[in-house]
Amino acid sequence: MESNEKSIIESFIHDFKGELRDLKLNLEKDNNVEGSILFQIEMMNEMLLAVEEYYFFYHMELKKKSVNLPLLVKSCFQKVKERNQNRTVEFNIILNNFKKSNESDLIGDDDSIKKALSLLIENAWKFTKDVPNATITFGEEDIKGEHFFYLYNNGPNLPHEVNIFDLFYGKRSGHERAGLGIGLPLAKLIFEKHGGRLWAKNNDEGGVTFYFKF
Amino acid sequence: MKNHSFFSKNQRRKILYCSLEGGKDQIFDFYKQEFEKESIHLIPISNLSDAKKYTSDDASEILGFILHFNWGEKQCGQFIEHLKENKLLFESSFIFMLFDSKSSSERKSAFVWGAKEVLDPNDSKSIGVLKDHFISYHGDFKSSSFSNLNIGFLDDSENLVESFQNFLSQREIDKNWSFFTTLEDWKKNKKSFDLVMIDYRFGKNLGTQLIEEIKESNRKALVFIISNYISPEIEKLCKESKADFIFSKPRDFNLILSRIFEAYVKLV
Repeated sequence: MESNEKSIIESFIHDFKGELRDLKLNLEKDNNVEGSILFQIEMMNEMLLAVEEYYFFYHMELKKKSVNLPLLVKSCFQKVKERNQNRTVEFNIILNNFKKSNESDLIGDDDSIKKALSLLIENAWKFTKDVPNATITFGEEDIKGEHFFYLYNNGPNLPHEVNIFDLFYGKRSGHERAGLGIGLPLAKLIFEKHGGRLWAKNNDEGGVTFYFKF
Repeated sequence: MKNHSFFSKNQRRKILYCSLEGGKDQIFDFYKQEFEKESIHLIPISNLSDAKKYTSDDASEILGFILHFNWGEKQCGQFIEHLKENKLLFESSFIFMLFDSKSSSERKSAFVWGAKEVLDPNDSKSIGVLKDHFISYHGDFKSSSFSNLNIGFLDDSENLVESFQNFLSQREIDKNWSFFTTLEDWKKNKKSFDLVMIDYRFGKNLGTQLIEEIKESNRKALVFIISNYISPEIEKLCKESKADFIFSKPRDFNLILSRIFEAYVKLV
């Protein structure tokens, strides 16, 4: 049954992409085509690509090994920074008990963990754009006896009216800086595939903290 | 890998980069370096009157425009109107909009203005897409090393094939290409090819089923599988079937040419 479902979804992605491209080609033959129609096709295409990416990670086979998390976080931050040279964001790492946690449970699929971290850092980077002294902090915290890593940013609080971990939440949020809303759901999926969790909390003094474990 | 320039001596080679800070924009330096590798010059522009003046004085040298949303929505709109009024948006010039945020309203404005592509400057893939576009639309494939090859293209999307044929014919690079939209047509008219592109799902068949017979007729033939969707399983099957290269069909069909070329240059 599962393989049948997989084949239906893959056929759908394949055929729908083809239909969208044909539609665009047909419309482009008409020089007077409304740009807003091309925009809608573009949106459909992006949504399809987002589903494809989500689907890819959903079925991805994890190749687990020991993960050097601080190193991964630093390298992901560096990559985001290189792509955004027009801004300065302060980056801190606060790891008090890391050695202890590292010994027992930091096993994961390097590539997908890197993907999830990059998505979280890009999200933090994007939402601190208008904040003076933008700051992102990676750290760890014990909450009710459970050990979590966190990524804090001093951007605006999260909206209450949408679930930021729903696929395409960004499209529904109306926030001018929100994208489609694929990054955070994808990051959550990746941590959950590792048997972990990802959740977010608005800080009383401002800013948002994303907690995760895997 | 062979060195190859996509541009002949007398081609247009300038792209206007319009943004709030013009040449002081740090992304500009990076883009400039990347375009220089293709012998394309990026000209920084920060104010509207300079942009208008440049397009009047040097219109015949301009390959295209990159407009940054931080230049201001009003200014972008006025400049595009100026280009349209003065018929400066001829076939060989395309507008690419970059946007700071991923706001839907910015994106919508860009497409309504007629943007060919909307890209995020914060996305490392954007420079690749920009280069791809300018190379695919303007590259001089006539003088490239694959202009002497017999090339077969098998895809059951008649729309795609027709548009691609028109694109090649406008650039007078269609004479070595053969197109097949059905298996029957392929069986009737196939010949020995040096390079064959096959859609992974070709009609009711899988493109990979044809690889063996293509290689039987020319042992040196390269076979590329192209598809709208490539899963790890599809990739594995293509490799097992001895496909030389597998790639996802780009959303904009014109980019297929540069994808094929890049893959070909890597393999020979």
